[in-house]
Amino acid sequence: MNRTALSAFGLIAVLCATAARADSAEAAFEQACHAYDQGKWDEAAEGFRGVLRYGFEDPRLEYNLANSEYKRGRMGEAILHYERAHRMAPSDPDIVANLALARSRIRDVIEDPDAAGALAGWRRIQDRIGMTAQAVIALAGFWGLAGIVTWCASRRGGFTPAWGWALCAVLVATILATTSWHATWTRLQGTPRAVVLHPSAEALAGPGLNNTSQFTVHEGTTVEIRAERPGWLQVSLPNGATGWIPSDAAGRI
Amino acid sequence: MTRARATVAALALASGLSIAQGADDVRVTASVLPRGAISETTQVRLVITIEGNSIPEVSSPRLPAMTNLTIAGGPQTSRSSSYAFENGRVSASSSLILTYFLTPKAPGTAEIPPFDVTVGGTTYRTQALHFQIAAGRSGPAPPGGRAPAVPGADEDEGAEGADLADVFLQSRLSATSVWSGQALMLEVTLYAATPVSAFAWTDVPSLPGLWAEEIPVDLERERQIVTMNGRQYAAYPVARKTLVPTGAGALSIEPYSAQIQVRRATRDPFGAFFSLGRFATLTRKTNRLKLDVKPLPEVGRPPEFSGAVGSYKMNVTADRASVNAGDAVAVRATVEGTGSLQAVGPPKLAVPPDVKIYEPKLVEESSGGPQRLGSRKTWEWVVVPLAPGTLRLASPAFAYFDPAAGSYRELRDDLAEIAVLRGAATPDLGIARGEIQTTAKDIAFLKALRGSLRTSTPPIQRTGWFVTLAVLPLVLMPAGILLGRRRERYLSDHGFARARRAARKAARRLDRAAAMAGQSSTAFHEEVAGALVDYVADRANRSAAGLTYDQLDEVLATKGVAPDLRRRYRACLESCDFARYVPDAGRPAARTDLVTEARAIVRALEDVA
Repeated sequence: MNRTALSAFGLIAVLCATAARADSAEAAFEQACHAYDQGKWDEAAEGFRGVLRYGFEDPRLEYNLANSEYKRGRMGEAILHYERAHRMAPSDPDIVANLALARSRIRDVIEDPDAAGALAGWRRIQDRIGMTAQAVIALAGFWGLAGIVTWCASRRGGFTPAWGWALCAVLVATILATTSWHATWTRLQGTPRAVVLHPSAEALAGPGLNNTSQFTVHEGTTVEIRAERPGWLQVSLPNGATGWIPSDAAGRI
Repeated sequence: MTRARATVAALALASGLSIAQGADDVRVTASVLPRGAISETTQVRLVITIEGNSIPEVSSPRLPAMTNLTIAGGPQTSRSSSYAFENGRVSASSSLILTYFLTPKAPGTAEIPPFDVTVGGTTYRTQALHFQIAAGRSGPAPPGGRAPAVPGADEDEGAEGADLADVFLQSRLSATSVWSGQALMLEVTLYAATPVSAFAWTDVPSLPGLWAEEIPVDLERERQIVTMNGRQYAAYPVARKTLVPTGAGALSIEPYSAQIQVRRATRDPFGAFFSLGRFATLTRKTNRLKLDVKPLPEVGRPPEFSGAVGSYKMNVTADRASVNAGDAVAVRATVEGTGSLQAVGPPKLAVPPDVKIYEPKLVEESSGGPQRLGSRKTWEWVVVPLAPGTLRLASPAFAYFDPAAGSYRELRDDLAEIAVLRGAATPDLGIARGEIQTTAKDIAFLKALRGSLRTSTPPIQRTGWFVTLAVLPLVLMPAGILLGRRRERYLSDHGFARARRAARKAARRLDRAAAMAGQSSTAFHEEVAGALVDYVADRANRSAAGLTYDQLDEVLATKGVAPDLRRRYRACLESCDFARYVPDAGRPAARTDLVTEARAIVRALEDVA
């Protein structure tokens, strides 16, 4: 009896704490929005950052924080949070537009060889569909395949030509959906990336100050993380250049 | 290493000549021309002469840093050879002359330090050269009488320098006091009393506070012969610009400077006859000009004024007299006159009701004309009347400042009425013509919080339901295939279906019989016997009708049923038959035992077959 009462009390306490946390976070969110409305960018940025500390992962929160940092002129932080928002909501046009605008304000211009032409169009379609929807489509295709195979294998007539074509069509669709889902996942979530936050960072040939400087990346540049050592990140650029930068010079997306 | 064995004569030094002589009869001489007085506008020539019986390869000398001189160009090279007959022997000599062009920086002492000249691998060092630079002269022709010797002229030609002094540049503004925005003309004229063979600008000043437009000049066509102070000059308009002050205040136009190459007159009668003579390069500057710019008055400035200063007229036309509602009429306004229209906006056109007017477009712009200060601009409006009737457009208003009167004026022109007919097409009210221009780009605004904030959610492929749904087909597929095949066999194999259903059917009938245990004895025993017979008939896929005990026993034997079980089966059937014909034979307890025995027999048969 005592144990049951304690459990119920604990559950109620957890629910109350969760509700209180959500209430205070949403109040802080609104307060930060209000500060932004009044042009108090510093206050707005700190407000949104404070909401993030509650543990929320919401694209609106990252986007608003990025906007505040943009207004403060901190392009590295702005791009970092736009990238995080974009990872969570890749089809949001505001995030895409603001990220592009922020990228146009930074010093480094690095052409992504895959970011043009048909591939760019395909990526837009993938983002519009979304990762979850692609996963569901792939799963439905898998079920369809299993259903057709089961049906045809249990029939006396086996695979008729019509069922064979249907199987091929569903198989191709399933492979496409699965590949696309995997590619989207790899692009948005699978590859660890970071944004340079320091005004400039020398990319060295190795993780140590005694190494030769290979190139310099500037604030706001997005890099891929290839490897990590204590205090150092091995980063690479879309053009293939690779080097080591101090890990505090970049923020992980 | 340097084999300079220079022998420098005092006379050569005094005349700006330095000589270096080598053992192989090569002589290297550096000298400065002109030899006479040099002014700051004179182009100085540094002449390096290399003489010898034969001149091997000469490296281009590297000139040292010079005092009060800058290098303007060079080197120009010229070669010559000569032969002498002496005591029956022929001796040849060659010379190579390298000429650098130097420009004096300011009046004062100029110095060319010694420098090395490498001839055929041997280095010769020249002596330092010193000379004085006098202040130069610029500006228009001398005020009276014959032009005096100009310090700026090349005077290395002695008395002939006076002729060269009659070359000068003169700049002139069409007005020295103007209003802000009022166009004026700047002309730079080259006056030359001697033939000019080449002309090149060396300094063209920037014009701060002035918008300038270059006007092309044709030196040959526009050349004039003018007489000044009793002397004839050829006047060449070498530059012409339209200037428009962009602000108010005192402005200064810095001197223009140019290098002019003229043919020096010769007093040699043969030379004069054959038009021979030598060329001289002169540097000339214009004088500095002052311009006073008055601000435009604030009083009386009409709202339509957009910066036009001058004298203008305006003409407004429409391209048609009648139009269907929804169709476009082009209205054009042309403003032309004296003054600059470069930065002037279009006249204002009032928008009446039921008419759509698009932003005006500049369709024509020109400047120049006979007075060279004229300009012309034409704007076009696309006007779309939306309702039938008569379109009366108010004339566009154009305001300008008249510098002669010192006041603002406004122009209007009557525009004929346009008949608007009821057209077949519906006017398109929603589509605006012309591209929307983005004036600035900024980030999209904040996102409001609709709903609650989201916490971290695992990706879909890591959720339990997704994994289950992904694995489930692998499990269900074999089962589905088995079930499907079984169903197919049920549908196609009647005997199999009967055999598979026999036990269930028998069990149901025995249940029914058990339910009838307390009722009619006949019905009960018929049900039990029917269940047993039908079971065997179903298993053997035979008709139950007409099967005798022996036939049933034979069937069971065929199925491999043990004799003991067959006996139990037969005994059970015989009990049922006996009880059917002797209704009171079976007690209720015996009936229950019979059903139990029948069920046990069916289960045993099911296990066997």
